[in-house]
Amino acid sequence: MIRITQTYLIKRTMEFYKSRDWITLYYDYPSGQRSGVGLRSKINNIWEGVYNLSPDLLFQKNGEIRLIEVDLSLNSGYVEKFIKYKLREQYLIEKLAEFVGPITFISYGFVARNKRARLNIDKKLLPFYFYRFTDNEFKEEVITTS
Amino acid sequence: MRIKKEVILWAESQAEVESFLELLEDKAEFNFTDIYVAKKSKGKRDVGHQYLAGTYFPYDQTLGATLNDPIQAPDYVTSLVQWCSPDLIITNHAEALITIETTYHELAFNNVAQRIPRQIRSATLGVPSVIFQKLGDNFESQSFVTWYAQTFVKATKIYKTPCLALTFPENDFEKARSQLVDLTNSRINNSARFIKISQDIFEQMLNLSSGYDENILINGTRGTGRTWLNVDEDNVEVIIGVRDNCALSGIPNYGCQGNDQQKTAFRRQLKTRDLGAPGCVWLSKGTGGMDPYPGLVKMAEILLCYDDEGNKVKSIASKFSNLPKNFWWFERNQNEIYYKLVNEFSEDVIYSETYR
Repeated sequence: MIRITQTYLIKRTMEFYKSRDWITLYYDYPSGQRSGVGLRSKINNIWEGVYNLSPDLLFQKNGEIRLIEVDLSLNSGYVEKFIKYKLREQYLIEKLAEFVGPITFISYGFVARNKRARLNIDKKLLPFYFYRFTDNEFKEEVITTS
Repeated sequence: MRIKKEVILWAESQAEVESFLELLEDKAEFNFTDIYVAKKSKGKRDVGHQYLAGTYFPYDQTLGATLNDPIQAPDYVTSLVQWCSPDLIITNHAEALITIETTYHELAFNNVAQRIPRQIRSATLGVPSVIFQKLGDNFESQSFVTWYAQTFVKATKIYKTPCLALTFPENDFEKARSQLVDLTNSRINNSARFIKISQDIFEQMLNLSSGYDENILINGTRGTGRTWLNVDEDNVEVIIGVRDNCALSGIPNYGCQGNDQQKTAFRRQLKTRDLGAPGCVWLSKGTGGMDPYPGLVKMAEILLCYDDEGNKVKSIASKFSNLPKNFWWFERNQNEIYYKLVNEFSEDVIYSETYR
């Protein structure tokens, strides 16, 4: 039986988004290796410079950037983390646009192995894309009300 | 067509497997018959240290996933990981061939020594090792880069085993990657070529360490000494200045100095603290505030306690300058690996009499 590790979920999420024609701008396995080189390094520097944090995944399609965190379950700590990102979002958009071209907005999402807990998603973060990975596939839930 | 040699990969985690396979691209002149991982992390904070006793988990190359049922690693793997697991160990069925660290985190003053013990462990066991280490663009002006390079130069001489640092600024990544792949291929397939590539990398290390000045390491550029180091004729003392955050804030029975209930409440507060507000490593990390210190002690020992012929000429001690021996985290985590290693690496460990 396979172990659904965070690395496995990150890898499968990249495949899933690629199949939907998104471009992977950034990924960060939980290995302590951090940013990589090239574009990944630049993106990592932006996030770490502002928050001392970096996202797990960043995708781009038609001017939209989607930021995805990945873990066993969505908890209040992650919601707080998204709200922190949101506070400096305009700055992030301006800096990212220097490397990846015009950006219309950033959307947020979470990939989890477990069912979504009963959490209020701050309305500033909506629409919020929650994916539960179960039975070897992603079950999508778009949250539009808090 | 030449048949590729078959070897086994032992990685710290699945993330290291994925990153190393990406790094190799299609340039590997060998096949991994089996891959195992030490930490079958369910999430970011659940890593465990069962690998210290030899527990590893198979990685299925077809599924690209770690499997649940553990295996027992051979002694020549288990002995290598006792000072923390290297990112990667490549073995055949009889011995370890090479250990590899890879990091894209630019070398910085506060992480300069963190990974050093893993490679020194390899060297003490006669196993060649290499760290693939990114440097900042201004590395030529950073004196700690010379300490770093000199540590590996000296370890190679002391243990008579290649203990290599393959360093690169961002712009030289492709060249360094190619050198790492060549080094790995040659270690598996061609001893003479391995010696040649090791020597090339050693020359690069000598070049990087050419500005190393022991006097500056000990006394600083202004000659006023270092806050983390005391050196006299016979002894080297590493000053471990990590604090208990609550002693800093001066609030008794609060935060990580409180009882279990107060600790839980404090942990909750930490989650919602403002951006940039200080956290508490003792409550939020399994390794507490110990991460940099085993490496710092080992680096100081290699650089300052051995002469150029590799003879031990000074003793090494560690001093917790701000924490007493009965600090709750020490008492509760006697076997935490970084704390244990500080004790193992030091001939003497000194504690503060009180919180400072």
